Amino acid sequence: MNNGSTMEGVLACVGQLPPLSAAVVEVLASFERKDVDADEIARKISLDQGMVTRILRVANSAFYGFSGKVGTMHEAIVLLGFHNIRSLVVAAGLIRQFPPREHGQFDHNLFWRHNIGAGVCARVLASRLGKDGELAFTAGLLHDVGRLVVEVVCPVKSDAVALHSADHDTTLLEAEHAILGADHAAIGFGAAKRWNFPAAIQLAIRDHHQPGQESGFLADVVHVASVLCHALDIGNTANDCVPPLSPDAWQRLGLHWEAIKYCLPEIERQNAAASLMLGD
Amino acid sequence: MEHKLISLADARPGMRIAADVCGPSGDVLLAAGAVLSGVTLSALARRGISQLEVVEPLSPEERVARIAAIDQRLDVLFRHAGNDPLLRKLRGVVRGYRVEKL
Repeated sequence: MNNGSTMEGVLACVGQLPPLSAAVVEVLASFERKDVDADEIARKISLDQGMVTRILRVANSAFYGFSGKVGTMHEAIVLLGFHNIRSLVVAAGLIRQFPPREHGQFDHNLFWRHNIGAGVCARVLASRLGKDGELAFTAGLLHDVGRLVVEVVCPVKSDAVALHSADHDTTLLEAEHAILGADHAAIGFGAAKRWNFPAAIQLAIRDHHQPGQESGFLADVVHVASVLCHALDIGNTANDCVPPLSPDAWQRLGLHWEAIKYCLPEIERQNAAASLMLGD
Repeated sequence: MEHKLISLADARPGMRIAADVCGPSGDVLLAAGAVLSGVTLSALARRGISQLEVVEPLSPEERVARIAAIDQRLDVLFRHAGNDPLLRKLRGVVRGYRVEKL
């Protein structure tokens, strides 16, 4: 658990969480299983037309090269591959399941812009490092899920965190410790365990602010991706700033600045496609 | 970056495309950011494209103002970075990328 997070603080949020939609649960589980029935999952996704619409918008973007030709979930899986469609299902499912509330301080649109942006950064970096880009994309999409949990379960405290952070110009983590007694990384980890996210994604959520030796590749790459996303001003609030970049994570990944320069246009291109997930 | 819609007859090699140029079936013929050449111009004409959006080059004054705006935003985003060497480097890379795109 992150420094300063109490078990009570975490449980207060995670204890009341609703279950995730069946399609999202199965898609997440498929990262750790080989015997996946993609047709059955496609059928479950197709029951939620709002989710399908979001997925098809991205599937038809220039990025995947099938512009306008993907009409159904089944076609999306055949043309893009089940492997590539999973992260889109997870994102669309969460966006659908936790819609914005009116008059809150929490900006859903910016939240998802940051998480989609971090997912894209993680995918581009992981692919460049020869690792599984889609798993990295999914971990990036979910890295701040703890913030969403606070917003859904304790909206009053979610507002208080946003106001505290703005009034005192503190980091989000500091504001969360002050108001909640726990931060979104620890709360997200609690939710990820409860929702049975793949183990590597659980660790990436828990450690994305300060990955350690034992946190694993996903935590390192999501950490760098999130910092990069802030630096690129993707999904930032007016008050956001670029958080510290862990020299250890940077070194473990073996990244070079030249590689980052090379990745930036690709990140921008892929982010434009993935952001089609948002909007009505 | 200012965009301008021009007819294909006014397009010249060296101009940069501001938005994807799509064919009648929605497929991208030329992606945003591409620089026009004689070859691409005749290919677009063959495909029946009549107009396209290009990037208008900035005046020197506009360029200075844009760079100042980039630095101003980076000052806000990196206000807690202090002398952290990695964040200084990151800021430099992002700034270089933004300025290059002007």
